[in-house]
Amino acid sequence: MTTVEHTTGTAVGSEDRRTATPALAWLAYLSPAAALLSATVGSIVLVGWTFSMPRLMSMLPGLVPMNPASAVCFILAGFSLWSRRRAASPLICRAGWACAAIVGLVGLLRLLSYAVGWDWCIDQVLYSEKLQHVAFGPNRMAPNTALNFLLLSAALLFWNNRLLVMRRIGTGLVLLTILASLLAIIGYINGANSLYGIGSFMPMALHTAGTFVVLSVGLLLAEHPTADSDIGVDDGPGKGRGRARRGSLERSIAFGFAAALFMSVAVGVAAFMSIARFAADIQWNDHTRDLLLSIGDLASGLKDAESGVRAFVISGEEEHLRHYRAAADVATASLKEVRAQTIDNPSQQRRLDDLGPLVDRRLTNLRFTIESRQARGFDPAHHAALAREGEGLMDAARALLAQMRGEEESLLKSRSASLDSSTRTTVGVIIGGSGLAFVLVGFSGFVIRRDMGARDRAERHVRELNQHLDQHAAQLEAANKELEAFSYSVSHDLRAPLRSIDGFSKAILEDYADKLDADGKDHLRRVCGAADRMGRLIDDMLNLSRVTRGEQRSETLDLSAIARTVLAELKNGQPDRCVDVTIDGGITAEGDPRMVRALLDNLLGNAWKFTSKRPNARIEFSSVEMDGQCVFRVRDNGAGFDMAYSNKLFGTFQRLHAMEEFSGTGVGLATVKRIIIRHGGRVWAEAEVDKGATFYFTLNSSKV
Amino acid sequence: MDNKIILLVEDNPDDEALTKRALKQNQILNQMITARDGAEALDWLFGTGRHAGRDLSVMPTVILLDLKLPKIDGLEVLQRIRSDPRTKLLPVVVLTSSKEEQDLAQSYTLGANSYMRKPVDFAQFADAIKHLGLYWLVLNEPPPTLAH
Repeated sequence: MTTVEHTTGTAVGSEDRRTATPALAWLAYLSPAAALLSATVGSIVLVGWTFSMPRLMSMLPGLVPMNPASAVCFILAGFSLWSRRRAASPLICRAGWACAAIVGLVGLLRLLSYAVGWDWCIDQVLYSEKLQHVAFGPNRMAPNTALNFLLLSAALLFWNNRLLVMRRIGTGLVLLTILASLLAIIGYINGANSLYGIGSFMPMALHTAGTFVVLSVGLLLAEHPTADSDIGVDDGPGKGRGRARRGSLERSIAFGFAAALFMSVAVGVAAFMSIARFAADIQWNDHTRDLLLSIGDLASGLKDAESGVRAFVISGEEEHLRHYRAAADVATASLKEVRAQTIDNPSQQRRLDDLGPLVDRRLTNLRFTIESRQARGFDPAHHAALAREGEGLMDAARALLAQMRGEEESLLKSRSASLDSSTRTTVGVIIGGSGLAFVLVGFSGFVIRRDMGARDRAERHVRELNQHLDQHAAQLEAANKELEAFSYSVSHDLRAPLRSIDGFSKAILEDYADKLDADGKDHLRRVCGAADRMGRLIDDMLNLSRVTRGEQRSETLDLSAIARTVLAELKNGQPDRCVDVTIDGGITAEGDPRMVRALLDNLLGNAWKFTSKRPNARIEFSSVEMDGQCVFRVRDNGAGFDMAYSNKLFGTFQRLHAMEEFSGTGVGLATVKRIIIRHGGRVWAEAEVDKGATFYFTLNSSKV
Repeated sequence: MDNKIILLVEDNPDDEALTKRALKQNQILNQMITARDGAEALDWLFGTGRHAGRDLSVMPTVILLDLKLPKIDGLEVLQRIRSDPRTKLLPVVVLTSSKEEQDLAQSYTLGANSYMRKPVDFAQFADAIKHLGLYWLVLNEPPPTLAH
C-alpha cells in the first residue's frame, strides 16, 4: 500500500526588499577601505623589518617602530574585517573568524607574559635579532597594544553573533580600543608619554594607534549581517516586524545613550584624576618654592646678623644692634620654618640636625662679641679671634644651606617637569575623551539613522502589504459575492428546467401510456432518472459550496459522540444492514461543529456505502498518534479502491466506482477536503481493491 | 371550497402547468389566478395598472409565491402584501427552487406563512402540491376578514 497525502498550507516566498539608503551608500565602502589600510600598514612595516628600513618600521622618523608581530596582527585583523561583509562566502567567513581568533591569542599571550614578568613572548618570534638593534629597542609589543588586539579580536568575533547583547559588547570593546588608541595619539601630539606608554614598558607606536583607530571605525561601520533579524524586513507578519524594528531602534538609542553616558563619566573621572594630580603637583611646586625662600631667609638672616654685629663692634652704635636682633630673629624663625617644611624629607632633616647647632653657635658667638664689646670696649685681637671662629661656623652653615638649596632646586626641577607632564596628560585626557565622545555620538547617530531608515523601509513595506491585502480582501469579497449569486441562480434556475423535463416526461407517461410501447416508456423513464440525478448533483454541489461558507466556530468536539450519532442515523436509514461498528471513546478535537459533522457524515457515509456488499461489514473510527500528532482514522473493509487513482480521490465530481455499483455524485470527499483545509489539517487515504479503505485526517486546532 | 381562489405568482409557464396538473390530479379544482411577475401580482391584489377597477372584495385564499421573479421579486411582493391592511393577513406560501438559508430567513421574517421547496422529481412535486392545496384550501381556517 502506498500513501496519498493531501496537505494544506501555502509556501510563503520570502523576498529581500532591503535597499541601502542612498545618502549613506558611500559608508559601505569605508569598512573594506579600513580593512585594506590596516593590512597595508602591516605589510609596509613587515617590509621595513625585512629590509631593515627604519623609515618603514616607524613611518615617521624618530618614533617607536611597530613590532613585526603587531604588523602581522594588523594584516590578519584587516582580513577578518574584510570578511565581515555581507557577500562573503562561508569559507571566507570562517577564515576571517580564525584570523580574529589568532589576533586575540597573540594579544592574550603577550599580556599574560607581561603579567607573569616573562620578557620572551610571541612578539619576538619574527626578526628576533633585529628587534634588539632598533631605535627605542629592544622592540616589544606594548602592553596597551596587546590589550587593544585582544579587545579588537573579541569585537570581531562577537560582531556576527546571533545574540544582540554579544554584538553590543563587541561595540563596547571597539569603543574601548578607540579610546586607548586615541589617547595614545593625543599623547604623541601633546608629548604626554603617560598616554601612549605604560610604566617603563615599550610604548604603543603612533602608527599602531592610528591603525587601531582606522580598524575600529571600519568595524563600527561594518553592518551586522545577522542584525537583519532585528531590523530585517523580509519575514514575519507585518505588525510583529514593526514592533521588532521599534524595539531595535529603542535599543540602539538606549545603547548609544548608555555608552555616551559611560564615556562621559569615564572621561570625567580621568579628567578629575588628572586635574587632582595637576593640583597636587602645583602644590608641591609651591611648597618647594616656599622652602627655597625660607632657606634664603635663613642664609640672609645669618648674614645680616653678622654684618650688624660687625658694624656695632667697629662703631659701638646701638642702632646696629637693632639690625642684628631683627636679623637673628629672622634666622631663628626661618630655621624653624625650614624644619617644619622639610618634615617629610629625611635627608634635609639630617642636614637641619647639623645646621641647627651651627646656627645656635654662630648666634651665641655673635652674642659674645656684643657682650665683650659692651663690657670691654673694642679689643681688636679678641674680636678678631671671635670673628675667625664665627667665620668658620658661617662657612659650615653656608655649605649645609647650599646643599639644602641644591636638593630643593633639583626637586623643583623634577616637580616642574612632572607638572608639565600632568598638564599635558590632563589636556590629552580631555581632548581624547571629547574626541571619543564625538566619535561615539557620530556613531550612535549613524546607527540610529541606519535603523530609522530600515524602520521607514519596513513600515513602507508593511503599508504596501496592507494595501495589497486590502485589495485582495476586496477582490475576494467580490468573488465570494459573485459566487453566492451564481450558486443562488444555479439552485433556482438550473432546477426549474429539470422539473419541467421530469414533470412533462411523467405527464406523457401518465397521459399517453397507451400510445407508447415499452421502449418509449423506458426512454422516458431514463429521461426522468437523468433529471433526478442532475437534481441531486446540483444539490450536492450547492452543499459543497455551502458547507465551508459562513463563519467558522471553534469548539471542543466529542468526535466519538458525533461518529456514534452519524452511524446511528445510517443504521436507521437501512435497519436491515448488519455492520460491525467500532468507535473508540473519548476522541475529542477542536473544530467547527457543523463542518466536522458534515466531515464525519461523508467519511462514515462512504464507509457505510462501500461496505454495503459485504456480508461481514466492519466500520471503525479511532485515533492514532503519528509523529507526535493526533490522527483520526475511519476504516472499513468495503470495496476499497485502486491506489493508482488516488490522485482523483478528493476531486469534485470524481468517482472511482461505476454508478451501477455504488451511487453517488463524487462530491463527498471534495467536501471532506474543503472542510479539512478550512481547519488547517491534512487528509489522506490508504486502500486496496476489495480489501477496504482507511481515511486519515488531522484537525489543526491552532488554525481553527 | 369552490369560491376559494389561488393566486399563483410564477414566471415559469412550465412550473405553472405542472402546478395546475398536480392540483388537478388531486381534485383541487379551485380558480387559479396566475401572475407572471411581482408587479402583475401586486396590480391584481390592489386593483391597479392592468387590473384597475377589479373587485377588491375578491381576495385569494392562499398566495403561492415564487421568490425569483421578473420586475419585482417575491420578497418585495411579500413585504408589500404584509404592509397593506387589505392584504396583510393573506396566507402566503413561498414556493421556490431555492434552498438558501437567507431566503428562508427573510421569507419568514417578512411574514411568510409557509416555505416550500419545489422538488425536481414530479412525483414529489405533485405530492407536495397536493398537501399544500389540501391544507390551505381545506384544512386551514382563513383569516376572519376573508371569511365569506
